Amino acid sequence: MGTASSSGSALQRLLKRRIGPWSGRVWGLVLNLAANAVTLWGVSSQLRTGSGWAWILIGGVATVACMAVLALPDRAADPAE
Amino acid sequence: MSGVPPGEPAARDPVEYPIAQKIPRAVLDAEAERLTELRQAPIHRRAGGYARLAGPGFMAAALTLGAGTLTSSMLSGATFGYRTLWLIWLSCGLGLFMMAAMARFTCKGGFRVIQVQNRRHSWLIGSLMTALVGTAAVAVIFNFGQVALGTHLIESLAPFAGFSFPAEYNWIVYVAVTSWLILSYGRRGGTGTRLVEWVMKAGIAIMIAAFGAVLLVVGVDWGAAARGTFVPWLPGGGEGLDLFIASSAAAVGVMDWVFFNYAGLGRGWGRNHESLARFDVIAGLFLPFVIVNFLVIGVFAATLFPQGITPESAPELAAALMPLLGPTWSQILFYVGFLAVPITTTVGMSLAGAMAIHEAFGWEPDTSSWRWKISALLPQIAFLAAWNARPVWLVIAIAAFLSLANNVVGWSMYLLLNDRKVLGADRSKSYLWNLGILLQVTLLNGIAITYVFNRLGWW
Repeated sequence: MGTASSSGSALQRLLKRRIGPWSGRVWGLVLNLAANAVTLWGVSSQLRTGSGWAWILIGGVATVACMAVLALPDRAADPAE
Repeated sequence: MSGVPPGEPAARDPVEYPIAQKIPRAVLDAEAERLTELRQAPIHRRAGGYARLAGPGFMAAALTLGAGTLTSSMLSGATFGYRTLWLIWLSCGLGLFMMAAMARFTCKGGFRVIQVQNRRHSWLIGSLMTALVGTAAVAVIFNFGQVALGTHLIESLAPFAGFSFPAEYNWIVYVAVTSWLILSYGRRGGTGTRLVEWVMKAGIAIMIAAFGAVLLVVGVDWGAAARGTFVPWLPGGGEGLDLFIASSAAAVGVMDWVFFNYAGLGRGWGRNHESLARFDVIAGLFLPFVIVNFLVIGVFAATLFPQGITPESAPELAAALMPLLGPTWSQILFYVGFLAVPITTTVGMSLAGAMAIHEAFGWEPDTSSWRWKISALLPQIAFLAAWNARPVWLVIAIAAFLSLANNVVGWSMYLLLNDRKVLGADRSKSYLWNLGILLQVTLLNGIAITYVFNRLGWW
């Protein structure tokens, strides 16, 4: 999981990069919130009308993806190390 | 973990939090020496020594185990039997990742989290959402529930002693006892803090002993209890999801995070205390939370659940339970154990509220000042609850409203833990730790989203 693979490093760089007002990590949290809302919208639709599986699937996959990326720690060497 | 090699004396960190500055240097040095000794001791001696030195975790447990949590457990036991026991350890277990972050901020970071939030994420998230909404407002609003329950329990206990003591009068005793404890914190060169911590530990011990004895009287269906503890089950439909999200995210919240940070700083914790802080989170917070809730659910699962009785408020639940408890002593024991719940929560919440108010306005906490005393006693306005019983639905509605701030504060804590400028080399370097925190943050998001959906009529 947390090995310094090339894709891991690219994602870690993305998390650190400033994009507009916030860092990639903050944008990731916003995306996660949106994905959570989509999932719960799907659950709500499923409970009310019986047709929300697609939203649940899209939101659920996006939530898992956001969490998997956001959990990457910044393991870059520190100046004192 | 501590960074101090075995055998080397633990160096003290500069004590910056004013409450810790009242502790004599000799006491802090003796504690540092003791920690060094314990690090080389066998595990059972280390655990015993840590248990004596621990405190903020127990205080956080006493704060968390309040009228709301216990009412929710009683309702769960009465409505679903043992089947929701698994939610208890899962919910508190998820909270441990965030509490470990607080231990890191306190011990390795050595900073006051609200001040750093103000600096890194704006006063809107630090002073407003974390301090004033997430902690101080919660302390005031939720103390109404504690006073209502506490005074009701004193009123219910009095007839066993042969007299009547209605809530309209006994609130004076409740407020006097809790105010004395609240004002003892941080006084008399640290002994006041230790006194409050000792009372919190004793309160938890009373809860466990009392509810445990009552559970022995009513009996346990061990098979059903084991299934409930390890096999996840939820009621069908939206009710099940509501129960899951609310239970799993609300066990350990913003107030616990903030309180643990400041109570640790108030004890003079520094870099060498992280092992003790983590022990305190597990032995002081997690275990008591799980055990007390397990016992309460067990009592109601064994008594009201089979009869299909599901009253709505804590006093109604307790009253419905009484005829089923049998001997008088077990009824008294239940009330005494239950009384420890609101008392310890009132004390913990009031202290957390005072710390938060001081941080929000940039005041230095001086426990002998009038400003501290007024801030700390502010939640005692809840004495008015002695005249007005609060329905459970109102507590739940307020909890949901306040939960709108919790997820944003959770984001802020996660970002601080991963912030090189804040923690330097001590930032999180663990994938699992981050993932645990993100799970809790996602559940907190779920609470906020379902609340908004509810308002819009979509849920």
